[in-house]
Amino acid sequence: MFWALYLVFGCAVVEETMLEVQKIFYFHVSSAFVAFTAYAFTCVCSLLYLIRKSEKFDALGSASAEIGLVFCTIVLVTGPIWARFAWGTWWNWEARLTSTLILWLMYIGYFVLRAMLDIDLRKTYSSVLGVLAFLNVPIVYYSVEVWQDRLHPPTNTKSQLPPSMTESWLVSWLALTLLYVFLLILRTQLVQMKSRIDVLQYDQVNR
Amino acid sequence: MDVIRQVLWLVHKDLILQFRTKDTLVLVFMFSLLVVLAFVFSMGPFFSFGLEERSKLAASVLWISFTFAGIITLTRSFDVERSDGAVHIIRLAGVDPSNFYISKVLSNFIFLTVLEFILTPVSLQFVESLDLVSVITLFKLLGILSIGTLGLCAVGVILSGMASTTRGKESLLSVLLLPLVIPVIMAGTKCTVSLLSTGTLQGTFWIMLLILYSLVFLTISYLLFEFVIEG
Repeated sequence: MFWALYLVFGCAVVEETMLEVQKIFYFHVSSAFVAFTAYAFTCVCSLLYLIRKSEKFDALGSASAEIGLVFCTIVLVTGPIWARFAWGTWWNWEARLTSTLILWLMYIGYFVLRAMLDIDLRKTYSSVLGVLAFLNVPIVYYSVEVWQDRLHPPTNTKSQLPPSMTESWLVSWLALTLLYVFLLILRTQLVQMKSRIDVLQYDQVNR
Repeated sequence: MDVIRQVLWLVHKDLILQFRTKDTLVLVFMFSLLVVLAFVFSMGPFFSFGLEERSKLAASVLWISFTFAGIITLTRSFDVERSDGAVHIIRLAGVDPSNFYISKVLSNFIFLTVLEFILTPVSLQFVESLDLVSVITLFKLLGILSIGTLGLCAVGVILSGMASTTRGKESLLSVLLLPLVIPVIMAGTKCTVSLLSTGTLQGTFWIMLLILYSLVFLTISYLLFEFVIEG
């Protein structure tokens, strides 16, 4: 992480038209990658939970969704700052922006649902929603793309960046992904501990 | 054969309940009418702007009011099942969860389509667009609306099945459902605008999207619904 920060602020070439603001790019794009990875992982875990009914997958899936939500929020906060300088507007209805927003809204719904349910229904229902929500993402993406013309650069522009930028970006992406894995492990342990406490408390009350 | 019989019986039961008690019927009908009126009152009494703009207004009025009507209808249709544990009785009667899902989609779809058939001409008249469209265009529009409703019901039934077990029923359902049906609303309004302003569908992308969306979510929800009922 510190290495990434050093590279981003120390080594990478300052972009000509946008100066320092361009440095958001490293964290914005990396966070977006991590958020999508996290949600894909949630979808896989949800499916596995529905098939296997193992507590472990529910803990992993919900922890991953939670971290995904944090990274998604980072994307949505840094995105408009970037957009203000690059396109001269805080927000527009471009496909990737819109689908990220809708993704964010759907996972807020995921946590509202979890908070409102009893412990036994919570796991199954949130897994069902985890699958439904993730499958909706490509549909939203393609429909918004047709709905509004695109502004984001096509995804294969990495090769046009100067080497110091590419290097910094790769390192910050790696750093954030490692951070995600680290948080995921911690959070999963926490969720498992919490459910154990719930069970113990339940036993205590009903004794 | 057994599947069709089961589904038809359940749909029959739902529709009898809807049309005999009439509380949902009146409530949803009045609600959608009031949403349309709220739109009309906020957009001003004279609709002097151009055809394109007027079609956009009509499209948004229709789709917003029917989406909200859908949320209420879906919530009510599971309220009936959850109270007094009617779901468990249906399960004990040997009904397959996926048949139960299909029957719920069908009964909500029929109910909402009837509502749309009555309310669409009225709403169009309110935004002063009815005399602009021919009868054939009106039928095409109703076709588009019913495909959109099918998509809405496909996702809505499974989410409503989940939301009905909580305290927050209606508000929770809207938080879960609205982000998921955004493609339906987008595609539906695009189709409606082009139908109202030109009389034909320009390009097949949006109508294909509507059909594809309905099919995809019907299939997935059909497979997943078992977990919602079993809990």
